[in-house]
This record gives sequence, C-alpha cells and structure tokens, in this order.
Amino acid sequence: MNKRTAGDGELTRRLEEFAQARLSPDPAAVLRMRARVMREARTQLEASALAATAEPTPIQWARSRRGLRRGAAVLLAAGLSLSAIGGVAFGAQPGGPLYGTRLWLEAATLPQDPNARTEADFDRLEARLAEVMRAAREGNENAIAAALAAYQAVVDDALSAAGTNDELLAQLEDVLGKHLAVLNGLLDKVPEQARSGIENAIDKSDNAIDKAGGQGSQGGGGQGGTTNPERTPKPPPDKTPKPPPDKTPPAPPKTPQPDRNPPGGPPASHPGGSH
Amino acid sequence: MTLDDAALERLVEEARSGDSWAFGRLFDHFHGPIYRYIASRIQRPSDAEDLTQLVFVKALEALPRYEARGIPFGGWLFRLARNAVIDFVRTRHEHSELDTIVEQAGGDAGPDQVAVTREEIDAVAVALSALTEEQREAIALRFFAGLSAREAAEAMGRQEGTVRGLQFRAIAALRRQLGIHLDQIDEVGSGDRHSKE
Repeated sequence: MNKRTAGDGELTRRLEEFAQARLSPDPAAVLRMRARVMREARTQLEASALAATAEPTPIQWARSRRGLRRGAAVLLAAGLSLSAIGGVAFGAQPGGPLYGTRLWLEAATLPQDPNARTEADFDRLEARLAEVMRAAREGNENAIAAALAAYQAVVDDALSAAGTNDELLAQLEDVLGKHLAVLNGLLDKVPEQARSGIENAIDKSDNAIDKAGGQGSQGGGGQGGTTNPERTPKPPPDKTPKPPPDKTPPAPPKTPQPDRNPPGGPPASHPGGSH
Repeated sequence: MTLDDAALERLVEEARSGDSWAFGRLFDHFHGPIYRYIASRIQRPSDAEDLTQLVFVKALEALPRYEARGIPFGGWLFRLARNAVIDFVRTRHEHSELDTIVEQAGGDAGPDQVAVTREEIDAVAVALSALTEEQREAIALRFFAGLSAREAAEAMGRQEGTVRGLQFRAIAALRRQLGIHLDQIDEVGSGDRHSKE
C-alpha cells in the first residue's frame, strides 16, 4: 500500500475535474471520429490483406460494376490462403444471443440529422461487413447469415436516410460499390450454404446502388439542396458526322447548328440537373 | 473499457492481419486518452477532433511497421499523437497556451453547477499554463491520458527517470499554485492510479 498525501488526492481530483470539463470529447464527436477512422481502416487494412497474395491489380472504381466484381473475385480468390487468419471473439457476436440487442441499441442511438445518420449508417455497414468477413474466416455459417441479414437491413436504412440528397446518395453508392467487391470475393470463401445469403446481399447492394444512382439523378439537388458536381450530367457528345478523309466537303448540309448544342456547356435542359 | 496487455497485443496483431474490427476495438480503447492529450495541447475542440482522427489514420498506415519489442502499443500511439500535435502547432503557428482555455467558460456547465467547481477548474487551467512546456506535457500524458511513466517516457522520447522528474516538479508547482498543502498523510490504496490498466 502506498502512502500518499491528502494533497496528492486533492490534486488528482482537481486535474480529473478539469479533464472532464475541458478535455473530453462529446459523444457526437466520438461517433464522427469513429466513422471516419473505420472507413479508412476498412479501405486500408482489409484491402491490403486481401491483395496480399494477389498481383497488384489496380482497381478503378469508375469501371463498370461487373468489372469490379470480376476484379475483386480474382483478388479474393488469390487471397484464399489468408483464410486461416483467426480471431478472438469479443462482445456480442453475430448469431449470438445478444446480437439482436446490440443491433437494436445501435439503431436506437442513431442521430436524426440526415448527414450524421448517413455517416453512422456507413459505420454500421462497415461493421456488419467486417463481421461477415470475420465469420467467413471462422467458417461460422450462422454468424454469416446473421451479419448479412443485418447488413441488408442497414442498406435499406441508409438508402432511406439519404432520401433524395445527391451528395449522400453518391457517397452511399461509392461505399456500396466497394462493399460489392468484397462480397463478391467472399462467395468463393464461404461454405456452400452461406452463398445464397451473400448473393442476396449482393443483389441488395446492387439494387441499392441502382436506386441511389436513379434517385441521385432525379433528385434535383435533394434535401440539402446540394448537388454533387461530379454527378452533373455532361452535355451530349457532338454527333456531327465526320466526313471521310478524302472527301472533305467544306460544309456538310446536315451538321447541327452549334448554338443549339454548345460543346462546352450544359444543354438547355437535362433530366438530372438542379434548377 | 478495460483490456489487458495480452488482449491489446492480440488486437494489434489482428489489425495488422487486416482485421478492421480489431482496429475498431483499439480505437475504442484509446480514443479517449488520445483526445484528452491532444485537447490539452490544442486550443479548439474541432482541431482536437481532427487531430485525434489523424493520429488513428497515421497509426493505420504505420501499423505494418509497428513491432512490439518491448514498446507498449499505447506509448507508440501517443508518440504519433505527440508528433501530430508538434506538426500542427508548427504549421499553424499556434501555441498551446492553456490560459486561453481559461476563457472557455465551462461549456457544459449548467446554471445549477456549483460556482466553486468552476473556479477550481479555471484555477487548474491557470496553474497548468504556468508550467513549462515539458512539465505540462508530462502532466497531460500522465494524468489526462492515464499513461504509466514508462509509456509517457516512450511517447516523449525521454528516459523514464527524466519524465518522473518532470512530473515531480510539475506536481510540486501545481500544488503551490493551487494552494494544496502536504500537511496530511493518509492511505490511498496500492498501485499507481495512473498506470495502465
């Protein structure tokens, strides 16, 4: 037993009081930090682990989703040797008796603000996907099924929370696109019985991406009135027929008038633009 | 949340193997102390939030190069935090003047909060601002972040004895400033309250 002065105790108490009052993050800040850090963790840790044994195939997210699926499947098939990575279970695990309670608590404490809620939903999606991957590594079919069901529920919630906000929908589309690649890769890693669950989740994500893209292009700016400039439709390409090289007429008679379809600017009206 | 050293090491290994869930557990365990340390050195809470996040992102990037070899993960993480604060202060030409914190009214203090408590908190802020930079850092790591002397030494890149000396002098200065006297002795339990769980 240490001998300490009462003065030590008093000083400790005052420092602790100071730290509580002035140096502690508020819960909303913690949620924000965690969501961002976990998104980064998913991108960096799991992508690098999956690609560890594969050739460094650059993934271009701008490619078609089918291309993404094929690329991720190749990467993950090559990364099968990593399936021996084990883990130690902490807390409520998918399929466990407290898992439903944990999900309920998570949902009950979601923020109301659409931006914050979408951020929180991304965090939940990533958490569910991490659980799916963990369960797949452990070969736990029940856990895979439970985590996948929870994942699909969060996809619905995220889509609903994003509403018609272009910016949020674009973020959701991006996140789900990345998840699709992971889910596709998992197909080769899980037992036969778990595959249908993953295929359902893939369909769900695929549909959600389509919906997000569709709503984003029709939303006209969405709730927040913000329009992602990257999503602004580009003007149609100039379809002026090009003359054959040897028969260059000075002025083809059927060339559209330039002022009706200016090449450098948006068309007079477009389906998804904000007005 | 309490995790013993073995559990922490396991989580670090799992995170290094690509398990983001394990990294999430590490975040849950360390974000509070890291934030407190940073907030004690940086004026604005929004900057403390950004820097805390940055520290964990840097940890993610550096994780493949982390080797335990006797260096506690907490000490390693706080070294990243310390470097992040130094870079921030240098680039923003900002000094961690704690006397400006005094001006922050106890933000969450409701009208029913005892005025004495607020005065005490302000007095602590003033007393901290009177310390040297190194003493203040030693106090922040030891008391606000809850590091052991060894971990604080690792974070500061100093010898453990040096850090203990800094803490000793800082505590004496704080006592003087706050008018806390050493005239009573009592038994307060075994172990070091501020050593890592």
